[in-house]
Amino acid sequence: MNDVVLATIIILIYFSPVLYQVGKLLIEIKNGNKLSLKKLYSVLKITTLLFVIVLSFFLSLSHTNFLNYEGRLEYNKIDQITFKNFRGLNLFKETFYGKKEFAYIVTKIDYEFDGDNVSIQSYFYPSRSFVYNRKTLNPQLLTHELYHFKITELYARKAKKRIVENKVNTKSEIRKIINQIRLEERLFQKEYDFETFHSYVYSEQKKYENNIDSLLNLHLDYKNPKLKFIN
Amino acid sequence: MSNLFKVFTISLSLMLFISCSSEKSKFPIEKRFWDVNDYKNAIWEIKYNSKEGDKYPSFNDSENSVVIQKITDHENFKVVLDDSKLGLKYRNEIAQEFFNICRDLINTYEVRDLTDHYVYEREFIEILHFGLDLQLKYFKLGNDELIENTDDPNSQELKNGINRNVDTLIHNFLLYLDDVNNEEVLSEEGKKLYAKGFDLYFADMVNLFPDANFSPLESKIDLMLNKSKSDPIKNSLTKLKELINSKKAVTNNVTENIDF
Repeated sequence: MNDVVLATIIILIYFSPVLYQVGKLLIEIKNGNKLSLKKLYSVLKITTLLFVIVLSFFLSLSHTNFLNYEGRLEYNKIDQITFKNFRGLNLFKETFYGKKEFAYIVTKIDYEFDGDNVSIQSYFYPSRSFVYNRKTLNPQLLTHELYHFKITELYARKAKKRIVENKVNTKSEIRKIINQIRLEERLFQKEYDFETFHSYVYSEQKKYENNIDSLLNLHLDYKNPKLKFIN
Repeated sequence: MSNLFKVFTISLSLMLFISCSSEKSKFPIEKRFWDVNDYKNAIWEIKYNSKEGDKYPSFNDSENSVVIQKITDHENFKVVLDDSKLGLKYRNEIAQEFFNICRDLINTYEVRDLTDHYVYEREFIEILHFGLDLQLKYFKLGNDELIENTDDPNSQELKNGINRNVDTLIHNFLLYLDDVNNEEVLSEEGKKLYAKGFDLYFADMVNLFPDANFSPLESKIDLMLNKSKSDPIKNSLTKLKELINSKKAVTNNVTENIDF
């Protein structure tokens, strides 16, 4: 059955007490019965409130699996990451381009100011990352996902390089650079997925792996997350 | 009570409207490359999940033309078979699967009407071209795998194996020529498209295996040249014959040089 139809049926069944009250109201309003309107209002209030609570619960769970939580991991742990670390729940999407074998990774460049220092790091978010089956032994799929993390690290290093080279010394300028770098990273991640077609085009995947590794080496001087700047 | 009925009717209509407006294609048309599973699913959808009287996806059908474009997109197999980073064994396995799929597609689209004309003429010929192009890759990969797995690259056994493969390829290509016998069932556009198969894939085959024994193909070309009444087909066959002869001349020159 179409997902939308199923969702509509569930919502209609859930809201059936409200619909019943609306129907009852339409019949009785002719007789000037205001009690039905009050009852409709109270039923609507309760059902909507419950609906919002349940929906929020599932949406939050879909965003971050707090039932099987693992905190964010730094880039230096990349070699220890396996699909067992992909703890997110995929409540709404069962297939990707018709394939049941798929994964997605959530990585991010985060930063923190500490006096004259700024710490810029790439992180992997296990409880927001998903794999269709945590016991999967598809090394190609894992490699593809981990290179997403490497791209994030590459752009974190690029951000630090830009800050140093431009002699940036204000927090607002640093924030601006990081936001700009995040946009550039997003574009590169999209390009990586498109060109490799999510690792399906093997030669492209290998090409990107080589390029990313080379670029990471080129930016080795910016491996350290901490950077001193003068405010 | 009638008002209650109205509410349910409106709700039901709303549900149906949402259901209809959000109907998704049965085919992964947004996917950049189709893999063998996509093909298998598509063939299943076309053959077994269509209502009786429904037309197969065709180039003229504005709604489903994208499906047949996807089906006949040669990039779908090239992206794997041409990828030298992938192993030969793996690529051969995929080529074999695509080959089986292609046969299934040919059987599916080889529908004729009461006057023996193809119902899906353009689609059928494009699928035949898909198959010809695929076989060039498939047999080349097969030969490459033979070479890779042999102890002695100069052994007679290897040469015989390669020759047998190329002979099979030529034999398979000859099947395409059989349609010249029934060229009257093709439209003028169909004949032009059919002739293109000789210009593109037969020429590729001759260039890919210039030393092969093309005598069965030459004999068939001669017979078909006598039989065909279509100018585009005759022109393409003549060009193909010239190409085969040009390769022979090169081979003979090489032999003469060695003798000299």
